[in-house]
Amino acid sequence: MPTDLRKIQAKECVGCRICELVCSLKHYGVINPQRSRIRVYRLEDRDKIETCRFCDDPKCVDACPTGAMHLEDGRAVHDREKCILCGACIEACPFAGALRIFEGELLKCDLCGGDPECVKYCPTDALTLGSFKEVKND
Amino acid sequence: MTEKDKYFGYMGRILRVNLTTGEITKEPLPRELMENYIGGRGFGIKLLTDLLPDPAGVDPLGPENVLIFSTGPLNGTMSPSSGRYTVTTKSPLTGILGDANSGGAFGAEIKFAGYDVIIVEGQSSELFYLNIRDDVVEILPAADLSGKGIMDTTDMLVEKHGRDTKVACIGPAGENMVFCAAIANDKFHYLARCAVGAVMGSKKLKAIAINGTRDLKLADPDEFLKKTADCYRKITEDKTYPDFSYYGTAVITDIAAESGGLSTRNGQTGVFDHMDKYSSHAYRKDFVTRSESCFSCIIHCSNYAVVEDKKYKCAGKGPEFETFVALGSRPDLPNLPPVIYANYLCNDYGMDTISVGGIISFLFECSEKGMIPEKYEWGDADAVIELVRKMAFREGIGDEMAKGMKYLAEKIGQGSMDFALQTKGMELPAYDPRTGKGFGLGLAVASRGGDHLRALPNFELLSYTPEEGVKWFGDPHTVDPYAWQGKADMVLWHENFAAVVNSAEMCMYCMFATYAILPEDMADLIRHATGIDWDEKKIMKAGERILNLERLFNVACGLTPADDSLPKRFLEEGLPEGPAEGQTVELDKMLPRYYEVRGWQEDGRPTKEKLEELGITV
Repeated sequence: MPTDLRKIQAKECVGCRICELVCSLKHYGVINPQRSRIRVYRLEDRDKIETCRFCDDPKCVDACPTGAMHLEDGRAVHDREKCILCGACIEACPFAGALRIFEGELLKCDLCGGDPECVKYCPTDALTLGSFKEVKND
Repeated sequence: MTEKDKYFGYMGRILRVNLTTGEITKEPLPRELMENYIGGRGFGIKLLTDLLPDPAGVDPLGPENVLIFSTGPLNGTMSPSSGRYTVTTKSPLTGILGDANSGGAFGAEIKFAGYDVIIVEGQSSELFYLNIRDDVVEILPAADLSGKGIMDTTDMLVEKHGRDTKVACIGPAGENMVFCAAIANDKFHYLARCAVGAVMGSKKLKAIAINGTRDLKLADPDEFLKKTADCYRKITEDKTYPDFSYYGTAVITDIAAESGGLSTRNGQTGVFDHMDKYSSHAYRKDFVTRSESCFSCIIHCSNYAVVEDKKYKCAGKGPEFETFVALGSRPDLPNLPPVIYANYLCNDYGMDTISVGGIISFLFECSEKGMIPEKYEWGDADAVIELVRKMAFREGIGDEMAKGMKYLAEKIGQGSMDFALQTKGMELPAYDPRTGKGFGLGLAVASRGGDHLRALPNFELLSYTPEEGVKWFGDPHTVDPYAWQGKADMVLWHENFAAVVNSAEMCMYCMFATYAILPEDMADLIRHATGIDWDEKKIMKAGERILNLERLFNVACGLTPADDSLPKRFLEEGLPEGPAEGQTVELDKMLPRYYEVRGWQEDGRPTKEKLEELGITV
């Protein structure tokens, strides 16, 4: 698991959705926002970022009946092999849209194994890397 | 290899909807189209030419006209500022090629739904909208959307079809077939020019709601991403980036004012007295709450503006440079709140602010000169707002204004055509060409009528050295805005390159405000995306091909060289004051050379040799 977590400052987001594109390209080799583990929605006068927040006490892990959603170094990690697509993690997650099912797969951010593409390509300070203890998401 | 595996960068399909018969078909995207016309604007003119072989006889508002929504190979990708798309038709405003281009996220969504192009043909008898979910295409009734503004229409369709839905629609102006009606997408992005919204209104197509789940494949993802990152770096390292990403196009207001070319009182002068209120700093400080981006754009030049003032209360995407002039300095309004409000109204009614503001300012001058019975004063904000409403709903004098400035000038007569700021029937944009002669030539020859984006030769305005002028365009005068020498060759290069950029569907800012992205960069991006063997030379040739096909279409519509002109005000009336005092546009000195380097005959047609060279068969 990564030692640096992603810091999200939604008020800095301008809604370009480049994070969605690089995410799907990285994980699937194609561009498709529906496959992205991070989504951005334009609301009237702001943009809303939807993705895993890597909670300290992840409810998704508690809710998972098969152990597919489990803890590694204190953070939720998803194991596709064990997942039965029951959706319990989605219901338990306090962040709407952070977890989704698309084409028979649960989509959950894995921070690209520690070097997240979305952070690399974000043109503003909406997505940055913060050290483990500093991370405060808005 | 299955059919869909053959396409990279493209989705490989054209969706055709015939409104007269209700027939919906999906056709493969021809390889010839990709290899010769790139996408977007290039697809638009090629398909328009094929679908309207005898365009002179086509009534732009009749069932025989077509409306083509086309994307390019970079739409949907992370290529910089690749959120644009084009709508092409025969324009009711000009009677020639009409196309308009817009940002936002709608263009990318067309691709994700699995299409490169949507062609709308025929005419419906009832108001309806198209609902597209990947392969499922529905023609649905829109009676409940009738008369609704852009904001309500968009909200209602997103509410109904889900938050991933992207909407392009018309407002009351489009339904009323006003000749400056726009199509709006994602609420605040406008296909504004050439009255494309009136054509959509004539077909009784209120909106297209679209959402897709398809994969977009790249020919060489690694190289594409590498090149994209390289382009991001070039754009962000450019000296214009910090201001442009913070203030947006409002910075151009500052630049135009400095050059004495901020069109004021319908272009009577280029010196505007209220710059303290209109500067990019003042606008940002007093009204802007945040910056917004189009799909896949790192520049985020859009701004969200809020006016608290009771009389002009509004919130939404704020005016761009063009609108600050059209609805601000041209009618000489001293304060910004009514300008932002009038912009908001034009947005909600779905109208082109350039044309609307141009027509209002023209009418103000006719009133000043006693040519019409109506009394208007420069600076009268209430009159501007009232006339915006009247145009959208075709009330009273608004019904005449809705037919365009050229029509109005012909009707008023008395020499008013001399100061009617239009070319080929389309109202001219903000920048006064007397302070940039290449701009003047570009406006006069633009293939969609009075328009600056066909050429956008900013090279002459950016203080390059004469040595750089020689290096780029073989003439040191090309860096002098007041010189006419060398400008024909310079404009030609810009026009060809703009056709490439508009066809790939990237935003022109990246190239024409900075020269950060050049033809070889475009060729690299498109090659890595599509696998088609583009290089700098081939891609500029494609741009030239597109320009020439547009010319052929216009000539077939009845265009003559006499139409490649500018209003007398710009040709003969020197600017009365300011840094550019006394300047006019020496169009007659530039045009012959332009025709020569274009390979166009005296009758305005491309020569047989030129068409053969470009592989265009007529």
